[in-house]
Amino acid sequence: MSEFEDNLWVTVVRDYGDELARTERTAHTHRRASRPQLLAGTTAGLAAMATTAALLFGASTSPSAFAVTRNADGTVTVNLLHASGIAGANKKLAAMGVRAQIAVQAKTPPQLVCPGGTAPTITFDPASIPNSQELVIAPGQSSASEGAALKAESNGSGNTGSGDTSGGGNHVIRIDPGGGNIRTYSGADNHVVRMYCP
Amino acid sequence: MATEASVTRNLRGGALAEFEEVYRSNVGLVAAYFARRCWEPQEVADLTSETIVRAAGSFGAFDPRRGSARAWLFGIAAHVWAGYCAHVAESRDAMGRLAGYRALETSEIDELASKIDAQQAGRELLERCSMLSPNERAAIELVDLADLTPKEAAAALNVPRGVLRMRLSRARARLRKEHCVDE
Repeated sequence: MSEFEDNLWVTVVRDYGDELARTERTAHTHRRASRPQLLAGTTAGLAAMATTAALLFGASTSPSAFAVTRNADGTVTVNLLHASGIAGANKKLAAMGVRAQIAVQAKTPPQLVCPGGTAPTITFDPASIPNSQELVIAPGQSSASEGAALKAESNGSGNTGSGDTSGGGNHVIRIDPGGGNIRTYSGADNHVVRMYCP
Repeated sequence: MATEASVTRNLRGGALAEFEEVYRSNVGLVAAYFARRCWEPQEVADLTSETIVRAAGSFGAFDPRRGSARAWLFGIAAHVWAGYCAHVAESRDAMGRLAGYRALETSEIDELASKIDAQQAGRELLERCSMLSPNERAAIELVDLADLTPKEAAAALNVPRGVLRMRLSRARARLRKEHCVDE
């Protein structure tokens, strides 16, 4: 898109993003049988998540705003520098056949760059995502303590816990097929993985 | 309570993601629509912005069963243009009515000026269409310049498809006739 169109989209998201994100037009869409979501632990959890999280921010998808890479070992690494790259990253994940989508909190800042100019990142193993489920990735800048914990885990010094592995200096999210749970940076079975500063 | 289906939809971007698709696919066409009518980049920018903002504000009411998003958006654009013209005709401050949008950067002015230049042929066609009725002119523009299908154009103009086809056919016949006379 052109610069004018990019800037206009930023205005639309700023002024109408929340309203549009809250808009449900389900009467106009085909309903399908619901399937279990990694994010969907309980009905209450769903309702809470609907109001607090997972609203695509999206602006223009400039190629530099994101990177989605399939690694030699089959894992996938997602880097995201700017919220405007979310839509493009999600499209690429879908095109790669990876059942993972990036969702952001409504107040996620447009710029996601880490100190030092690096991009928040996450590496996960798509093969470990259960067939009927989808991985939800929440980007954003972790707090200093969160980032430190993630970094410690990425170095293999943290308590990775059941269902998680780390190796080769990369923190790889693996999902326990039995429980369908993903261990997060906080150690809780939160079902949402967060990107972190490398 | 939100249903699981609706929440799943929201988790995947909700109406914002859907609107983004509509925006990406159509904003250039909407800007071109106004670039065929205006000479000032700021005017094109403000009218395009007004159309998009109105669309964003009413996207919840958009029903795809009644027509495509493009048709819906061009319907809004036509209303925006008609309102703007009415204000101009009444010698009121039409630009003031659209106030609130930011002033363009130099690079954006250049970009929209190029778009206005690029619409020269379309502008000339519209001028040639001045002998047509407003309804016929609108049909020609939406189908032959804005790339809407006749079905979408009918939805944008809120007329039955048969009426649109008739207007289109009549307009093209008159333009052909005029072209032959010119030669």
